Amino acid sequence: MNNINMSFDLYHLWQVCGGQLILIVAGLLLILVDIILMEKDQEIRGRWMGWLTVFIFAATIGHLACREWDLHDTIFMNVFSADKYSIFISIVMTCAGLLAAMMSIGYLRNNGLVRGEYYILLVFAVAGAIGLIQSVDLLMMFITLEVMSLAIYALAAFLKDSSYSQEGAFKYFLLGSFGSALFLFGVAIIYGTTGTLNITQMAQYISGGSYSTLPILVAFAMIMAGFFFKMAMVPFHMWTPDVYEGAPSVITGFMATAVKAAAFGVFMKVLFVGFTPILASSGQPDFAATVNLSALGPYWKPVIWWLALLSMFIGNLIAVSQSNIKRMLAYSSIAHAGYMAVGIIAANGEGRMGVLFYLFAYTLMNIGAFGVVYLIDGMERKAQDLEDYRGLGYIYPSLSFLLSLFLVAMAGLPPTAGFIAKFYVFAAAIKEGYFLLAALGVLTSVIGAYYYLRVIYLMYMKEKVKDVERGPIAAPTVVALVIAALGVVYLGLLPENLASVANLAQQSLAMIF
Amino acid sequence: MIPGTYLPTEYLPILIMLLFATGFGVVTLWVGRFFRLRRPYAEKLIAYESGNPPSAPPRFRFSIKFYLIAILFVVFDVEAIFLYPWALVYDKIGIFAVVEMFLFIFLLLVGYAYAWRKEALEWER
Amino acid sequence: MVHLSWYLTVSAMLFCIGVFGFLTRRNIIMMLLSIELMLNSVNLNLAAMSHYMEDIRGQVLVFFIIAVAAAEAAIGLGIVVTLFRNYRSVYTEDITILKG
Repeated sequence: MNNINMSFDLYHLWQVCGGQLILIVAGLLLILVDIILMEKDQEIRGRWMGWLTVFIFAATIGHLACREWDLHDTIFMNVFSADKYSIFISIVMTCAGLLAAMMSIGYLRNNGLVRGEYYILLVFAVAGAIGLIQSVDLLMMFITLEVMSLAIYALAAFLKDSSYSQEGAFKYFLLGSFGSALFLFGVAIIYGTTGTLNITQMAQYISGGSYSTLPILVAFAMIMAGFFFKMAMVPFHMWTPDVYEGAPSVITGFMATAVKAAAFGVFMKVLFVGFTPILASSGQPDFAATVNLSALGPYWKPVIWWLALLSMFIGNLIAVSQSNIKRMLAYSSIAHAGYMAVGIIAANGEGRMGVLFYLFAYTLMNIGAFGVVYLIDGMERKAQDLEDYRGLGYIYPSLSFLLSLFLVAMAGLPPTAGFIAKFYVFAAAIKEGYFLLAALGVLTSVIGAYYYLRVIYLMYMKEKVKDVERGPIAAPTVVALVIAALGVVYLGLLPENLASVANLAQQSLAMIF
Repeated sequence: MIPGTYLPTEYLPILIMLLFATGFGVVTLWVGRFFRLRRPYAEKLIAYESGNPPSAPPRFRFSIKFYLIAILFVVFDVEAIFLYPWALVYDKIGIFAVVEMFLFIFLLLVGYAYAWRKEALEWER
Repeated sequence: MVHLSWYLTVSAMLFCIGVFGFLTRRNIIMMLLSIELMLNSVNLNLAAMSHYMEDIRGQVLVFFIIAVAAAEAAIGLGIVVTLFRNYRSVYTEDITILKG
């Protein structure tokens, strides 16, 4: 009891949790700003809150990118770690937050919903996501997971008078909390068997021989199931289309990217640090025994093999028959979760690097696509059917071009980031001998290309049947769309830079302790 | 003592009493059926509300305001649980614990101020 | 002294009741209650384990779970209230405009 060590210096605190600190303090300040501006005009309030949020996210990205990149450290008795891996995913999620905040300025104005809570929740959601990815401790993982999820539940329900938004948010809430309860029960079993909540100590303990005992396997399964809910993998995907259709478009884009990045990132962290022999490769004598954990492979690899396959097939096949574009993109996001899982199952450095690259590329193209969707929509649900996209190529050429670019990237066609990302994960799977899975993955990509390209076909090759009036375009949305489009093309042409950074990031997974 | 072989015998009287109390209630009500008179009439069948005629159906809907207050109460009330462990150990940790708890309370205060200024606490709106 | 496995059995039973209720109930308030039951079964589990292992971390986790459960209930009830305003019903079979 007396060895509670509370000494830490502010330098380390700033280096390790700087991103979270900025976001939490800024979120509190935003609350105060919202209170102060309450008497002001809605227009002024929205502009202030929106631009402040954009500035906050930009500052966070600046801090994360400029902190000492080589510094690996943990803080608060090994609760949070700062390593290249978590910093990389933190940057991905903060980028998603930044793009979403920029689009939200226009989105909220178009929908007559300018309210401060929106930005506050967005900031706290990203703060929770960064905390989630940085935590090494299962307790902190649960708390930050909930911080992120609760903010997202509220954001998904933000359209107060829309039954669609409420229904989607409620389904998300129910299944999300069900998933966290499963996760928590797994954590409780892990705690009871190993006596620790820290994933590195857990790896050390179970590599002593108890890795194949029933309690550990049950706990492993429950923790995985909890994360699969957030990742929208197939047997746990039922909420995805409803939530993505009902939620405000920009929030859908944010959910599909930041939450997915957080869930995949933390899932890979738990899986590879706690249940595979990656720590043994760090050369630390304490972790030499974790090499035994490779014996767990036959337990989890078949599961993820089937889930990846089902996600790719079900996501792509059901997406073909959708008539609402947001719902179609929701099923496509399930399929993308399947592709990323292919990178996880390879369980080698290339696979992990591929997943990290995929997360970044997917963030840019998906949030961009939802940005265009909200602009063409005007008001939420005014023009979301695929029929509304007929002939748009000649009415709004630049918007249609951007949407085509993002859809081509999602289909995984060559000059874009989507192609490179898919190439990395499939190449990693082939290297490990998963030929069948890779082949089926390519087959499902072909199915996927059909419905992505169908939208482009409708936009350029069909006559319009309905007058679609897009909403007013706000300047920050244009900037965000252009950033996303340039990023997609840049990563498609010159992927080496990001790939080498992602490679360094995945290597640092071995150094979390 | 071998774990798992122990039976809590000193609680046996409580178990017996529980069984007896339950049995007494059930049996007397059941036996009473055979002796009591049944002469129902309209006034006798209405719900008993201390002698007054019932003014509304018993399952009426509460105003939404109660929910709002209840939700706020749950959130702020539960945060108080963190004060108990803190109160046990703060003298061992020293000034850091005091600062940390005031930081925590400050966070709650920001939330409170927000709820207040957004008129979540106003009864009449 | 009560053996640890008794607590674990009760906790596992409560968790299963929660899962069962969540999957079978059609009233959304009941589904919320089932989730609370699942979280509280975890609390029981952790508190018992923490006591028997003489390790304080499990009890710390219980505190945090209670606080998070309260926040979750608050958000959930908030969504239920707006949902009810839109649908005038608390039964899942009435809340099905999103499908396909």
